[in-house]
Amino acid sequence: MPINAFGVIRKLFNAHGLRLKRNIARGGAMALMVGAVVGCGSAGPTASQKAPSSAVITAVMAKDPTTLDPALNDGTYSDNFVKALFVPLIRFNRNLTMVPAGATSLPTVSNGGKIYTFHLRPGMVFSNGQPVTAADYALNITRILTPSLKSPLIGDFSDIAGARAYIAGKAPSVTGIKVVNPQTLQFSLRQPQRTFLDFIAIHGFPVPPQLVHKYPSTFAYHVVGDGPYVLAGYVPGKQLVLKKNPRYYRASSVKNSEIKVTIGISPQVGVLRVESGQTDVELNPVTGATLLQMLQNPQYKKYVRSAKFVADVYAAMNMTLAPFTNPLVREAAALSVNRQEILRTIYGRGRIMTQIIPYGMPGFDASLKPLPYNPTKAEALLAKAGYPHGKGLPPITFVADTSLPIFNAQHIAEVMQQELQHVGFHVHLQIVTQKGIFRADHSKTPLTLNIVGMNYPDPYTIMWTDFACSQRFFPNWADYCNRQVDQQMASSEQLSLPAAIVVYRQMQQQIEAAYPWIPLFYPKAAYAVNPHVQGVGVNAVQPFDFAAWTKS
Amino acid sequence: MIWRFAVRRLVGGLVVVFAVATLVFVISFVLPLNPAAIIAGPDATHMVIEEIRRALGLDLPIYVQYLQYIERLLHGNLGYSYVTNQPVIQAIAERLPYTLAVLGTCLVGQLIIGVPIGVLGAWKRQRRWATWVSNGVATLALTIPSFWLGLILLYVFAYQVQWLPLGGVARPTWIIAPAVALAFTGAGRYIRMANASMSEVLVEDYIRTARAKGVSTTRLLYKHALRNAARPLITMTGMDVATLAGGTLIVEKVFGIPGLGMLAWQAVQNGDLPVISGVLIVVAVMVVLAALLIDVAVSLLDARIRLERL
Repeated sequence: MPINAFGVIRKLFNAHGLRLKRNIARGGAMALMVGAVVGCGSAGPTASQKAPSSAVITAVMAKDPTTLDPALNDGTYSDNFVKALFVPLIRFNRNLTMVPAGATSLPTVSNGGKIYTFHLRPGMVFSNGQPVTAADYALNITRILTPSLKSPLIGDFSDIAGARAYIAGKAPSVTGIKVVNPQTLQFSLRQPQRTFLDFIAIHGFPVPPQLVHKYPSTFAYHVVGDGPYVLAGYVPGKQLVLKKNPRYYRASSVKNSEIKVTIGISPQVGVLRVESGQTDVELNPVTGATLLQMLQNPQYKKYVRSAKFVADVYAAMNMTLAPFTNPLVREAAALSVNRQEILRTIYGRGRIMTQIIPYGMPGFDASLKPLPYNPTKAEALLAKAGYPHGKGLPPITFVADTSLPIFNAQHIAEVMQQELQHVGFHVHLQIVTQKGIFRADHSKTPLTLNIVGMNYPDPYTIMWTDFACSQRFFPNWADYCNRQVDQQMASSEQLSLPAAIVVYRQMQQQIEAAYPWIPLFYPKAAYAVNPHVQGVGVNAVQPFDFAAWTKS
Repeated sequence: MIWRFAVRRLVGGLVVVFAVATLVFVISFVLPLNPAAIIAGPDATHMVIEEIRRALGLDLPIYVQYLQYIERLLHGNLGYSYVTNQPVIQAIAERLPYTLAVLGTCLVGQLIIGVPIGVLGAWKRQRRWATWVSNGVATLALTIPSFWLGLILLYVFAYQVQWLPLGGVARPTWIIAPAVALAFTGAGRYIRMANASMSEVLVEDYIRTARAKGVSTTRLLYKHALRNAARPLITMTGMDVATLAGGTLIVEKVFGIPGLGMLAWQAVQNGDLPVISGVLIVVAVMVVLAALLIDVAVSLLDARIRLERL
């Protein structure tokens, strides 16, 4: 059973009838000091006793967003905030359909899918009143491609014509980005690339040139955008305040006037703040014992809010390291894990994985069944591979990342360790932090617990990052490399999504037959949200679409 | 004369800071960190990682990187965060006041709780109740972990009765719970030290003489006895500055305080070497300054030490 310090304290107090009600405060300090107030019930003050103003929604999170600069936005912590401050040319709606935003319509595509022309929505202005022009969008993409900015997105746009020469310092500008007129922007690509529009939808924001030139590397602290909110205050590690932008082109659709985020609050304390009505939303996912306690408490069960989250959780077997060089051993490992049991350790917050394309992603095949749990067959496979009862198997280091979001990686890794050992594997757990995963030498790591999430609704995002030969070890943890699959993947970029999905399903079968992963589950995210706040977690691409949050 | 002493200590301190800075640089190369890969994130291609590596200057020879690093330090430039691009000195300046507030209130609190109880235990050592109080409080303080006491304080005073803020530093009262948690758990050693030190001093001849002359108890304890018993307490306070400057992390995490500890923790998680180095150097400076202040204070209390060290 996982340990939760607050849970233990709460139980201690409740078990000894030392429930301290808020009326103690009125009763005076002496009453508190002797701890003589006896109450009943199982929890602290309720949110309904202290409902904050409906116009202002308060939230807490454990650490700062990585950045507020759209050119540096890596899509993990910062994504929700960047999208609150800037309007992309196009975006994904709740149904993951691409719709125009800063553009009047989806772009016209010409020259065999190599030229994309966007027409900007007239009347768009930054929050400081300056008009938004095509040059402002072009500037952001050019910044991304500028090596000195160290943008993690540089690879997403490197197929724009002239981008590679610009990155290498051989050209003063990117020839493939053309500002036709203040309202028209054109991108020319080296070759047709279906996912280009996905990248534009998640990174195609405008930035005000004066500010960007004044603060080239620290624009994140001087952000002015054209989105639903303006940055009213940001003290790193302390607080971030977003106020409704009256100049936003859809200002009437923003349901609140202010989002006030307190930073540095641990998930456990955040949950207590939500329960006691001091905060509306906890932006860190609730996991482990804290989640269990909330689900078991009738009063707070309704505070647990599920959010759409499209991802795979799996353990990658390094196919270049013994014993996983042997496909029989990989299959044995995949069959030895009881996925139902794994789901139980995360209190059922997920679905058993049936295929690489995750549940919720276009291309997910609902007819496929999960890999069975079959330790008997696993033992037989190990014997066939020359390791009867695991005899002769080299020890396996299993790296699990405790900072992975949504679930408790350590608990899952411990259950997997037991199950793998049951059929004969010798597993040593190595618990690391997220960045520990990045710096671990994966060419020497046989087994890695990981999650791969959807950046945009196209299976390519997962197929490429996790199975392309060019991504070996990082982040293709399994070191899967199949030149035929690589070629299929490259050519799929030139197909329409429905046609590409057919290819991805074939590739998926081929990859799964090689057992590069121990498939586990598709996670469901859970957040602590005050019941009177609605609209949290309804968009899989943007879990916290602040503008959609309402408070009754 | 005290100035000559202080300047000599300061020069020694600067050498220590320089050594720490060099050590930090060396360690950053020993660690299996790839800052470019960390910045680039999990979806990055090798081309991206290589470009970022070049932009960071990590492709330069190590000695060139070291010289650039030292030159920056001499200009008061601790570099820029790999993750946020923010100047490290600015990030530290934003966080330092919170750590200093916690550190200051904790040190004062430890002395306020620890010294009177320790003195009481020594003065009334013939009385069983005094020994019980002194030993009991000291044992309790030494055995309760500060984060556990912090959680209890948060649960009772912030969650249940809501007198204090439940994490964060938005209200001025944020300092109370962390200060109490750290001061109480740190006071145990001060009780023990004050008790032992005062017990030795109180049997000295000059104390007996003062008592025979009719000096009041308060004056006897706090002017005659404590002044002579204070040396180890002051030295311990100096050591606590060093311990607390880098060791408030858990308390900062529990209470959501945006201090240096949290900054360093996030930097370690992100592999943000310039921030890690910056925090270590600033903590080294704080420790050197604290040691200097303690030396000066001890010298002022006891001229023999000043003369010995000169």
